[in-house]
Amino acid sequence: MNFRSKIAKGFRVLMLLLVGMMVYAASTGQLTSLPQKILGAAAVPFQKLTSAISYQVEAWTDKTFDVDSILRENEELKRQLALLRAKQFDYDRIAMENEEFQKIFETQEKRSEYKTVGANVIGRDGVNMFYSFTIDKGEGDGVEVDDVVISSEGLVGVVVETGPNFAKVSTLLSPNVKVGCIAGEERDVGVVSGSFDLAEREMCNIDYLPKETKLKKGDLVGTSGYGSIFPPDLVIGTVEEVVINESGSSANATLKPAADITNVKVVLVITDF
Amino acid sequence: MKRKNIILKQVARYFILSLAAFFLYILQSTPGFLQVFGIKPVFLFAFAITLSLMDENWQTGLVFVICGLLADLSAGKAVGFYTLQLMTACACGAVAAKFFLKVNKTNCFIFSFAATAIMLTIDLFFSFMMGDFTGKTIYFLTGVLITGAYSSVFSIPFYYFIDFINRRFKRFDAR
Repeated sequence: MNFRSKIAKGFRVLMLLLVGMMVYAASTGQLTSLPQKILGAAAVPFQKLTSAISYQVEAWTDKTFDVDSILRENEELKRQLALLRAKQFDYDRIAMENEEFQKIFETQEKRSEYKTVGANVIGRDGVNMFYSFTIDKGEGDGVEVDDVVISSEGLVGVVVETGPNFAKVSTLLSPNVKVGCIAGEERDVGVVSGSFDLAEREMCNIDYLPKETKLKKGDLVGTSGYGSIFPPDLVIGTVEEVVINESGSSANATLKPAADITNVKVVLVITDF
Repeated sequence: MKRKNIILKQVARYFILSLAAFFLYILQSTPGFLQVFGIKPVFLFAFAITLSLMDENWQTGLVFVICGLLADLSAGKAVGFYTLQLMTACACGAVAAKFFLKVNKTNCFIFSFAATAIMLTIDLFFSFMMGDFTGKTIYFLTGVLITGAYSSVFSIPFYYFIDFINRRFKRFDAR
């Protein structure tokens, strides 16, 4: 067999194999095929090791080379602390009287009823600009597609694919993740989603807000719970800026996620709520 | 040399290359590894393209498939999305190397950059271009061109690695 026919035959066989895998994956409604799951599962122990090393190196370099930023941050925190101390008395009184406080307490109680699984971030990929990542928990730990992923600060994203011992998480910064939200004191309803330009600045959009919205910078945004994916009252972030659409029919806002999506290392997966 | 021995050496050769692809996947997905201004290299594309230019055996296709499947898994794409593109790019690379292209480090870099940029542009087109998203130009510049160029830089160390493997196993090539 000459070179050309060998190449052509090999190419045809591989293409057929690949198309077969694609058809099988599509028929089972999954993104990944069995060989990928096996490869992904085999990679998890190594990914745990390399991510642990990477985090150690990052922590060391941060300590060693970022002294200036730590000092600046320290100064800023001192300033904020002084400001907060001055306001503390008022805040305590308001908090005691505020009905919202009771609601938050109830939400916390409810949240403790969520079934969650703790997971470490073991992989991030260069192809995806929206900081999607891989966690070290998968089907074997009860993690399923569409499970919600949170950190101690707030909502991070949603599971889009699972393997036996790993899962892929798409973050809030991705345009493909849409979250129903409630924002501000008026509890305006909107939809949080990512965009290319805002992802660069680690922010998201809130679309479809009412045009008469009274949202302002710093207002808290949480999940609405409409739909079946996201539980209600999870903190998503805070409002940065509000813009009325050119058509004047609705308003948009820019949102700063509460969670540090680009650097998150440990997350909780809500497997049932 | 006995035919069985030749086959075993060939299996060992492609096993090493597949293993290299597997470890490149792990390195590629390691958080923060070789990340510069938020941009990470995509090793698997550069490796597969460089290999296509330097190895004319049809068995190399298996390594391309492994690279493609790992790239799909890594990027969270449907199975075959990058695999088919990578197979096509590598087939073009193999033909170019056989008939038109002189295989050296510069050409490996250029071909790798072109192929990576095209694949990432196709990704951009199918994933987002058809939707009404803002900031696509910024994504094209950073997510496609700069990522493509940065990833292709690694085609040079891959060139030396594949060259070493080729020299080591050259005499076992099936005739």
